[in-house]
Amino acid sequence: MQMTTEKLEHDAVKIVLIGRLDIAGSEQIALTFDAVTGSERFVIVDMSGVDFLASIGIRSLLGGAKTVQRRGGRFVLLAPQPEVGKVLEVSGMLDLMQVAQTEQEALQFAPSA
Amino acid sequence: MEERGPPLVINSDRDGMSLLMSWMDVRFAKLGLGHSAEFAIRLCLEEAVQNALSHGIARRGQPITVKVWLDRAASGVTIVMEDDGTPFDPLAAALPERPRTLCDARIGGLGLVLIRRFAQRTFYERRSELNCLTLGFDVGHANPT
Repeated sequence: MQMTTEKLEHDAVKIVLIGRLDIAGSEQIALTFDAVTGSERFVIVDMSGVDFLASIGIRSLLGGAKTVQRRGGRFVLLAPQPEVGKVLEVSGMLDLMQVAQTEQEALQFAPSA
Repeated sequence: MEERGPPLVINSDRDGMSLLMSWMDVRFAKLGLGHSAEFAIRLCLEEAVQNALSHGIARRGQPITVKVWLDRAASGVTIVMEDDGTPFDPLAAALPERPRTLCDARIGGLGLVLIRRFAQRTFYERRSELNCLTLGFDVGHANPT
């Protein structure tokens, strides 16, 4: 699992994930992912490169979303692949997290200052 | 159906999961199931084995052994999993309530939800001091219902 970050407009930080978000993948990104979600108010997680998502990965996403929300911020999932989207739907995450299909759409969720 | 062959035997937690991942990579490369079916099988197997290892060890207080068979037939793929942990039926266990808000959301407990939704056929029995879980997948129709 690879993870990179990128600054966007509206003080957003985009986390780009590539690979399998399973046990090994979650462990690989844990420190950096937690550091970003623990310090930023507007986090967009680009899921387009994630080709597998297990419950341990959902745990990572959920933890990040809760952390950002506690500080009044926004946590948005960007462009999950169809199978990954099904995991998010079945697990109830689509009811709890904002999901956008494009970066411009994701930026519309910017938190109020 | 192809000859069943020897099972994958997992004896420990972390190394066991790594072993499972490598085993699935090799088996799936040979079988050519297609992305959707492979995704569903990989997901259910990872969740089931992880659950057996973590909960079995926690309840029994000592390492357990998990055995996994993968059978490919014209009608689909069947996973058979046995473990010698304490009795646990993942198909009857209570599922976590679907949270309404992020604040309510409990971290964890989703593996059982995923297994029950992504496998087309499920069967559990306690046999000879073993938990025996069978998961069936229709190749080409591996979407959750």
